[in-house]
Amino acid sequence: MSRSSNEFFVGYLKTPPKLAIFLTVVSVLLTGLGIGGGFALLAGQPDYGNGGFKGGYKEHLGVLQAAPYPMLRLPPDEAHPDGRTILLSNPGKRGAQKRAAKHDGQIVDVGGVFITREGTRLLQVGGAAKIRPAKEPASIQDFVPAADVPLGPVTLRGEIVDTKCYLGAMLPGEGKVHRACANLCLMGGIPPMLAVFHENEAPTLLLLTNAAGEAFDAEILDYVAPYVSVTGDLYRRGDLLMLRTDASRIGFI
Amino acid sequence: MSVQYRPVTWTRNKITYDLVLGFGIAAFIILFLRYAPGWLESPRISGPQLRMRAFGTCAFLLLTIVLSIGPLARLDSRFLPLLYNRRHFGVAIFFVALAHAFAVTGWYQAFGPLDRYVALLASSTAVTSWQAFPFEYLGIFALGILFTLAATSHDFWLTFLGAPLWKAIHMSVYAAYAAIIGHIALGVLQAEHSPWLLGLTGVSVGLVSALHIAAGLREQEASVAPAVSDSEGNWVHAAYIGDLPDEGGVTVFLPTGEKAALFRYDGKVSALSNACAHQNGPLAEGRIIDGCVTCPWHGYQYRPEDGCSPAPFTEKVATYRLRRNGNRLLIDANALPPGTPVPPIELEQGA
Repeated sequence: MSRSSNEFFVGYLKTPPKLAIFLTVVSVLLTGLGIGGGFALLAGQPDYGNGGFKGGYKEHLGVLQAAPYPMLRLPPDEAHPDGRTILLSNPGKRGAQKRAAKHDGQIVDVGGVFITREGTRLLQVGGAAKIRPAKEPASIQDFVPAADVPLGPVTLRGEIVDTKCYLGAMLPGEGKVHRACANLCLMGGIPPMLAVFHENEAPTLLLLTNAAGEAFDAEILDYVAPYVSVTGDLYRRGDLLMLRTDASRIGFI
Repeated sequence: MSVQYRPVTWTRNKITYDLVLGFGIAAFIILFLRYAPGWLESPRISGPQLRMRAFGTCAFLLLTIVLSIGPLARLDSRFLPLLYNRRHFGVAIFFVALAHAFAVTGWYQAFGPLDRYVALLASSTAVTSWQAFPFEYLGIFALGILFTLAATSHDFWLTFLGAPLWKAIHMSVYAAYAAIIGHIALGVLQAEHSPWLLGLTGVSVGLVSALHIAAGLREQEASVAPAVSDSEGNWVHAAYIGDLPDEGGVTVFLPTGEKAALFRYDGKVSALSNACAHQNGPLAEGRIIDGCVTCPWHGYQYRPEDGCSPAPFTEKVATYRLRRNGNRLLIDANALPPGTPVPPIELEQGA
């Protein structure tokens, strides 16, 4: 497009006035469009839930089970007729396997902070107690955790997540963008769960184990984040649902 | 223009350019981090993840703008000043993208069982699956290109590598853009199904593609100059004298595949290579200023009679022989060595 030479721009000379006005308008427009575009992208951000670290440091008395993932079993009460099962993790992207191994089957005090989302909790171990033999075990001396209850074969659809981030250690702690972080958590020993989503209620979360009911190995990592279909055998341990499966029975949807 | 290497040869326009650019980036990041959470219906997002989004989105928008500047300037010369300091724009994009990468590795790859940079490569490796594809690899690839372009942006590298190789390396910005589109498509677009995300990514791709196609079509409209049989030289039609603008240039598409710039000045006509010795800028789109052909990109100047920059500058471009045939000019498509003096065609008054 030809223009008169007095509108011609040379970097080391004074910008012609008409051109300077044009460039000012363009700069303001580009900045405005850029900021507007950024905010428009944010407008599409979904609700990542209200998970997070909640309730502060507390100590809990129960029976520790190290397999398939470290968990604390609490005896039944009125609100929890099947007893309670609380998954445990260390700070960071690390499971509590090392700490739990030497107390497997013992009555222990476990100190830490709950990471809670929509009623599901994981306890990040820490503080004064961490995991130690119970100081006052008498109140649950007779408690023997119930064995896993088989509930039959199922095929479920959902997203494989690392329990800690999903429950609120990160927001969002799910989805493809978070996949690498989730895999690092699983590599570090954080328990994997299948989140099954429902239309108008909180997702159902199921702890995933291999077919023998042991901790999953690295084969699960390829299936973390995208929606998957998982076939397996459903069990209940206390109030925790567990799905025994293997990688050959997991497929992308 | 400069006869020595300096980190930056500052001019008033460059300072203004950088201030506007810096203000735009700072405004975007501050508004995104400070005000976006309060404005959102669901503001619950971890701080580091908000920072990832702020820097990532900013880098993507900047890349969209910088890739649009070239074709915009071809379609409307008023956009040429945006091209003038485009290298600083590119360096700024690299640093914003680097901030995005640090935000990611300092959060997603940190606190884990592996070193964060090992984790970046080893935590997600399903390259054969599009659902689980490690989109981070595409981001690393794009960041590597942006680093290469930023690191070689100085004129030292332009002279050291030569304009054709330097330009070829810097064309890899398109590969970086393609990788970033893949990074977005196989990353956040798989995680979140917002029409805004998809729509704005599509607008970016559409805008960049449409502007390049439009600029390309304009170039296509110009046909290669027809040959004129002659025993001496490779003479082709260059232009009708009446079509030559005063103090402006005309592009001639030669059968050799090269382009010449034809300039009318002080009642004379000369022909130079169309490619500026600095960054291959299109000289024919420049002007005659102080008796010299002046490149529209960075103001490099050449005498029309011999293609040499005036002293103390040392740049040279190829020249072409011209011949008059009635009311039209013919050009010998065989370029002369850079800096070869060629007597201009003298035009009678009123021609």
